[in-house]
Amino acid sequence: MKLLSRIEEIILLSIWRLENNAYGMTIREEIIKITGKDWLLGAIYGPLGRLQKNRYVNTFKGDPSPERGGRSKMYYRLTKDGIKALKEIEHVNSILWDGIKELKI
Amino acid sequence: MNKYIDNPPKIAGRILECIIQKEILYGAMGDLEEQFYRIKLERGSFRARLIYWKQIGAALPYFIKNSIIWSIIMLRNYLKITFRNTTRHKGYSFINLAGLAIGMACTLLIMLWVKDELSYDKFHKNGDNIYRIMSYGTKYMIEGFDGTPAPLAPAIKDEVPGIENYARFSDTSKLVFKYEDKVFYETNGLIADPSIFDIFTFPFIKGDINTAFSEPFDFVMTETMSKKYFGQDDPIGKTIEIEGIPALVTGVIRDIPKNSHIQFDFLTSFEFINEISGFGTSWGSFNFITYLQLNPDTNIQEINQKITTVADINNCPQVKDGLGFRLQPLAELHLDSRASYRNYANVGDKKYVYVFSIIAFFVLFIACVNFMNLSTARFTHRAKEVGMRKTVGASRKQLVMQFFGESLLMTLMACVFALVLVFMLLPLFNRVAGKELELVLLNAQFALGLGIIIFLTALIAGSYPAIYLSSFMPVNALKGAFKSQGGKGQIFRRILVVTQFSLSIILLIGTMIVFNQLRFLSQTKLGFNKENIVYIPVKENIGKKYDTLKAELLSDPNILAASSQYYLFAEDGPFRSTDYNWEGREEDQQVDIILNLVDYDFIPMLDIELLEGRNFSKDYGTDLTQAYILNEQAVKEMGIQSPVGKQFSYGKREGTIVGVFKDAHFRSLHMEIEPHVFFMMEDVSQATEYGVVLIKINGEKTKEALAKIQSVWENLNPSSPFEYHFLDQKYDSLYRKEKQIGTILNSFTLFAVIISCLGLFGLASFLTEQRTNEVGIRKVLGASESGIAVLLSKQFIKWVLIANIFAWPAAYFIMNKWLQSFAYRINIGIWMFVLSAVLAVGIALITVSFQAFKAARANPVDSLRYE
Repeated sequence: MKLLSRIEEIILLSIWRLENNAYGMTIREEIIKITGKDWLLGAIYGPLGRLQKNRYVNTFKGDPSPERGGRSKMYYRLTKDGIKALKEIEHVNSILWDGIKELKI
Repeated sequence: MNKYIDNPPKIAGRILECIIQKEILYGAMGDLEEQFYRIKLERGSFRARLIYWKQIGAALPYFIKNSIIWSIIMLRNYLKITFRNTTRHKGYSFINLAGLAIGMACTLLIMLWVKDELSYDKFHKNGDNIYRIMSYGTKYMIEGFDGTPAPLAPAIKDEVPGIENYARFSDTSKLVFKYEDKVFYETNGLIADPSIFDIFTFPFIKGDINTAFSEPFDFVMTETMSKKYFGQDDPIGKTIEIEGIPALVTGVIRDIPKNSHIQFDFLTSFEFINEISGFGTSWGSFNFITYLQLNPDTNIQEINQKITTVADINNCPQVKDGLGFRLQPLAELHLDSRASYRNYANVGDKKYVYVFSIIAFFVLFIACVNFMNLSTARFTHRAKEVGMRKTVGASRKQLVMQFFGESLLMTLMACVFALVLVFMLLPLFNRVAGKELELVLLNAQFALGLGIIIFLTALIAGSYPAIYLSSFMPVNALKGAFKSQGGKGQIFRRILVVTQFSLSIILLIGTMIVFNQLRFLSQTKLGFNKENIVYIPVKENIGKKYDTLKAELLSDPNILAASSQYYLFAEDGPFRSTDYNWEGREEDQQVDIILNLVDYDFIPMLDIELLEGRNFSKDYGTDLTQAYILNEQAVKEMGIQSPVGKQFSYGKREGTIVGVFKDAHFRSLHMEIEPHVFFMMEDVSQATEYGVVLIKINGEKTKEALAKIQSVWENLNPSSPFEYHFLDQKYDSLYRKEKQIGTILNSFTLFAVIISCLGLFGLASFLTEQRTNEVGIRKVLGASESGIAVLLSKQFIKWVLIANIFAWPAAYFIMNKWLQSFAYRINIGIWMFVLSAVLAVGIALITVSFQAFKAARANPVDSLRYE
């Protein structure tokens, strides 16, 4: 299995955190919260599409709402593969950061 | 707040729909819209829209880069496949290319021709406001003619509002020009008001427009004519002798463009021509062509009426007889085949512009049909490719684009060949069509036309294959389930072949009818003998010393007879009058009779048959001043019983009818026979500028006779160059346009038939190849070679026969219309249709049977080996 990229990792984690409320808008807000940087809504669709293609996430439709022009929300949730991939990256991260001296400039 | 501002921008949404992956489109659109409304609440609608657009903007570069990379990859693949397919089936590719190239070449030639026809008189700056006054309404002028009385224009300029300027034209007769040792006849002159240069755009190269006509003997010539007399010298201020009168060159204008209906080499004033020959300038003589420049937005109908009223007030006699005037816009002049400007032989015809455009489309369509037929007939070769592409994910749209691309590529290649063809054929075409067309590739108009032709051809040729080939179900295509051909594709192909041959047969029948009509024209007995007759203009001493001339000519054994005429009867625009009186005339009866003045020998020399009475004769002293000879038509229209001996007068010339001659076609066969009257010319030197001496010569000693005529001429007229014409050639030239049309039609028909046959050949060879196994089995079971050949050819012949059913009525309808333009015409015989059908079937049979026999002769062992 290929290792996740950082943005993929961030998106997957946001979806995980948002539990049942993960759709485009909330995911973006979550990412902004995590990274402290402004993200264009459009910027998350590329990686999201990729994750969906690799079967790390799947989608389900919510109820149609008027503020979305009558469209349903497209909710995202992690698949088993997605969780596995997250665990793997968590493992890699822990090894990566293990025993690192405090970073100073 | 208005709704438009309230919602997310629609266009941005559309763009997004095009570029985003389908899987995430739905969610993304919803998210964007939700975000939009949220931002709107917080920061206003403008901000929201801006951010919405920003999202799209950020996505675009990636999308564009990606799609470009992929289209290049796919394009390379498409090109490779096209190249392989083209080279693998060289025969078919050749047929496709050759057909398209010939078709496009025809279309391009016709496009050039049509463009030229439409370009006439478009170069004048005031063009939109220039009109010509046409006269119409009396019996033989219903269609209108361009003669107007000289005083008309000045009168209406004063009285009718909206007229900015006018110019009156008349053409000069043949004039002798002499400068030092250079002596030429100049025939192409114009007499006009100097205002012509204000109204029309004929730019001066040398001299000044404003002062060019300050003296009556000033005149202006074109660049070419100036070179002819003065070479490189400056002609301004030089003096040329015109008919012995010194005239001053005051200006040189640029050569008149070919696509001008007004053509002249030199231009002089009315005063000047008055010195040489008089002019009728009364309200009754329609000697001038009048052009008006109107103020923009003038009501033409109103002006038409006012002009007629003004002429009526001034007692124009013809208006009293019901003649009216109307304006004709400059842009319409060239293509109005009724225009009768004498010097202007190059009149176009709207009809032929349409006809040729349609023919061009026919030929190109036939070539496109070839392409469609051959590409769909070979579908089995492509079916697997289509199946494979679909399996790995090609969408129908992509496949359609691929096949369109292929047809576009073929069309582009064909276009290169077509241009080469046009380049080679153009000189020939020009000679046939009497044009000077040029192939200028870098002309914007031409490039646009070419682009449209290419695009249209690619579209028509590629549409059906693209839709048909892309429709295959991958499963069937890959299984090879298409071997048993049939179904819709085959029916459509049949329709195409039938259409193709229908068009070809229409052209064949058309050609045949045109050919027959032309032969009819040249063989119709005109009622007089035009063979071996030479005519020379009545010039200076030729008229004054006519008796000497005649006596000298007749002393030569090769010269059989000589006669003179007031004007050559074959000339356009004969002299008409209604000023006749006769015994038994009803009070208000008026007959428009063409009149001509002749001498004693005219009727016998031309073998004109006298039905009653006698010819003019020296035995009757009064003949010279009193005798009239009429034609049957005149007698009929006047309603005279036993006319010989009855009183008849023209104007104040009282006299009697001495004879009646059988109706003869003195004018073009486009026209019905009109009433004619002949009477005697007392003095030949009073003949008009179109006056001629007709000389009958021994047909076997033409050279000697001409030499004699020349020597006599030179004795009498040492100052003017010798010139002569043959009467039969003059008559042939009346049908020059028809002959051009005939030749052009012939060649395009030939092309159409060639292309159709190419297509049929390809289709036959392909379908025969498909039936190789069938033929093998039939042969094994004992079928004869000829039996198989017949079997294979039968279906094609059937199609061609069906094509006849459609072609015959269409051809009849079209050609009947064309024939209506002749007063004397052939009947469309059924044999022409049958002959065309036989020809078409014959050509098709030859094309197909070649393939059929090849297949029939093949050894069954070879064809069945692979089963």
